[in-house]
Amino acid sequence: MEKFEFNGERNPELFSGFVSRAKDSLATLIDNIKVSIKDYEERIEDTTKEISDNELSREKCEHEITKMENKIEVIKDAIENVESTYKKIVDAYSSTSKGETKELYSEIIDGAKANCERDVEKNRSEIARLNSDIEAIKNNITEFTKIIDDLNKNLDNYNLELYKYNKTLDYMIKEAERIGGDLEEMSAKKEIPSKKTETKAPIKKADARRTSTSKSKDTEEDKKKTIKASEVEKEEVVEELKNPIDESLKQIYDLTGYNPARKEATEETKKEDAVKDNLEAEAKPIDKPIYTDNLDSLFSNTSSDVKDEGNNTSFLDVDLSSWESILNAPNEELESSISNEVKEDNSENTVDQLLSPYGTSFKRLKGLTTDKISYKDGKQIPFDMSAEDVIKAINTIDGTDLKKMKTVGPEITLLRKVKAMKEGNL
Amino acid sequence: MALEYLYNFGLDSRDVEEIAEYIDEEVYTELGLFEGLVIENIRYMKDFGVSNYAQVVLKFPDIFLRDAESFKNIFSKFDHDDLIQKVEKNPAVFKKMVEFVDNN
Repeated sequence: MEKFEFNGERNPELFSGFVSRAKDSLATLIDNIKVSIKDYEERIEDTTKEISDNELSREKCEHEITKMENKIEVIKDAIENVESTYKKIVDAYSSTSKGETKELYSEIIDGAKANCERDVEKNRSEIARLNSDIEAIKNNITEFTKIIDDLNKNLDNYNLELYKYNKTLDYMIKEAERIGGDLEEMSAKKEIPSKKTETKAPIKKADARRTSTSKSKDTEEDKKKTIKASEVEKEEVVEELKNPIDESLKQIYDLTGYNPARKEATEETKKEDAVKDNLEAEAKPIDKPIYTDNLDSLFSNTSSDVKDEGNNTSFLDVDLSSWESILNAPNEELESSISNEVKEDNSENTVDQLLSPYGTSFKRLKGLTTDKISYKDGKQIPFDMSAEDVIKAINTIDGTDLKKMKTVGPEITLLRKVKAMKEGNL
Repeated sequence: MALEYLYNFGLDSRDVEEIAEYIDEEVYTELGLFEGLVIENIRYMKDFGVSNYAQVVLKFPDIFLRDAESFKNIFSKFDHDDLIQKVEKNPAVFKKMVEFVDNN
């Protein structure tokens, strides 16, 4: 049997599982990010409106103060007028008054004085009240300014978060597209060996059915009929595959021999085949669908092209063909099936993917640092930064770090976090 | 000495000792650990045309503890000749420029 190899020793089904899981996870992540983006956009909208309202209120207050200050000026003028009038009255009546007239004039002057003092007092009270109001409004303005400053800070943070989420979303979408492409590519690569490993299946199956009715009629004509029937089937399936979204799934179903639509029917057929197989020792019950796109080439080969009839356990028949179990398997199980070397590669790939939104890479970060932390007193501790350290640092990024990234940049912020971890300060 | 690499940029042992004396432990360890980053930034300043870059390193070494992109961004905010002229006249101006860029 041809051994299927893909990218070294990695099993294609395993990777199909990984990639599918990654694709699903990314889709979920993308959805979550979209929800967060929407949430931040709403928050930004609300905050902007709140800022606008507060600014309007502040402007109103300022306008009110201006009005009050103008009023104070008017009152001051009125006071001056009253005092000036009183002065004029005093001057006029004091200079000309004599005898009884003087007494009369004194009463007039006293009356004018009382009126003047009352008016002045009233106006001064009004000024004091207005000044008090102005102080209160100034207080309000300070409050509004404080609120606006706080809201602006929030707005900055929201914008920063939104920017980060948008950037992450772009990255995730790109990754999802890439993974989608990888999945199709893997499926396409798997088609080639599957021709050889599966070719025998339909022929044998056809043979089995034929021999169950008439063993001796295994002629070329029968084969041709089978080919024609299969070609018709192929055309139907190809029609079904027109939907590009379903295509990848169908490919996986075909490659793994799994078809949810036919599952029940397949089991029935298997039972029937098993009965037939008991009758024919040489035929084996294989009820896996042929990868239809390859039918032409499959059937253009003669049966002698099919090698190793005895060993018809293709890579699809080994336990890994149960791709569902791979997909549903716990991570630990999957991890244990991968070599440590692959794990290390994955760590570096993962960290590079995580660093990508920050515009840097693990290699670059390594290149920016030395291998030890030196202190003033001459003490040194080794600084062996691993991909896991960087992943840890990325996972613990908080709002403060984002602010730092905005000023000094993401590389040094991440390196500082790794340093803090190594020093036991994080 | 963790800061020996500064000898390559016109600083001598006395300068490095002076730096080590007045900067705090955190900046000292970072200048030693993030050598690649600091070198990248000093080189950029030198290539930009600031002739007294060593003075800037001596007086404000912590300025160089930032990403290369972020460091270049400071220079892009000011007129090339004006920046050089002002920093050469007084290295402290560069510190003010950094603060201005960070706060705006």
